[in-house]
Amino acid sequence: MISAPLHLLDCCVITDGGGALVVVHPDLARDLRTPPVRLLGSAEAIAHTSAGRRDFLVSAAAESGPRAFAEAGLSPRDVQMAMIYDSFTITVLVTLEDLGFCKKGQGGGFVSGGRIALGGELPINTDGGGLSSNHPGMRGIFLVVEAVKQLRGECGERQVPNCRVALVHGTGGALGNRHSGATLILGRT
Amino acid sequence: MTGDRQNVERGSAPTPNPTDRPNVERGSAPTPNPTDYTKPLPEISAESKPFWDACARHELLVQTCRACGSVQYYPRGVCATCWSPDVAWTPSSGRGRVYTFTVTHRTQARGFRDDLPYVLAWIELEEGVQVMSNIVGVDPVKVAIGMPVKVTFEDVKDGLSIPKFTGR
Repeated sequence: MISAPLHLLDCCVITDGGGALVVVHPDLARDLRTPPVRLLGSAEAIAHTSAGRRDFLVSAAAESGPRAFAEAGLSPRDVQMAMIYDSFTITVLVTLEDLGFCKKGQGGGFVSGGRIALGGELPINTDGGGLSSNHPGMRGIFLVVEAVKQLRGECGERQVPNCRVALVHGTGGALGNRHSGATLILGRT
Repeated sequence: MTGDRQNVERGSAPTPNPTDRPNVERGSAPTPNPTDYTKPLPEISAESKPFWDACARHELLVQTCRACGSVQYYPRGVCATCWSPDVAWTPSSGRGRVYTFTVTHRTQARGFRDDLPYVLAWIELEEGVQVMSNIVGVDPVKVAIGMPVKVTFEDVKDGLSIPKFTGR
């Protein structure tokens, strides 16, 4: 047990790492060798202690998620895979609820039974996530990189079939205190 | 212990402007040797000084905005709801209930290893605001959400006490 109820495997690994993206205007994207991935919608939000009146069950994703989906004109059922920042297991549960994949309080049931595994309805963190693969303290870039690779069909054995829309959600700061949330909806061209 | 007002145990009635009061002689607990304390110390700012001065007197303060009536914690120079600077220091009863908590069993944080396992909690005060602190004086396995608690003060050194919470 680390901090109850989180056990060792509920906590992310600690590693070094880095990543990079190249972002281009659609006019330039037309001539690229590799099919680009489009940003369909995005939003950011901040949650804080609310001067001592915070609902701890709700994160910044409850604000950034709906705004990103609205900009994209899509909803959770349109998403084939998601990269959800996973500092701890609870981070994923709260985020999935707030993004609208399931009702508040039902995150545990939602992730059970293989739904979020490869081959399930909504594969999540197909690179192994922060819980298994890497977490340099700034894991967010890996979320975008893996989502882009999935949308381009480059993931080999971990490829999500017919991946057209991927959601990325990053959380920064402390979930139980001050934190930020950023949601991206990415689409295959 | 319901109704036992630990945070005003030295018998002075709470005042609206505690900073106007002369320093009240502290209780009988011996001041610990400052070099024994290896945890981080609070950063005391101009905004928060009245709060920490009250803690040294074993009084817990929250703030009430005179413009909109909102109660807030932790101390700030303005009302976080309406931005008015007309914020009053308000004595808290010190009573509340555990809102949520965790029991830490592993830590690398300096000064905390000797306390393992320790309880970090958010406490909802009767005044309606949440305070982050430790639950002390209770077996960690007995701490539960909703458990009634009251403030108690850990005397760190002369002039500095930190609010903690214990069962009531």
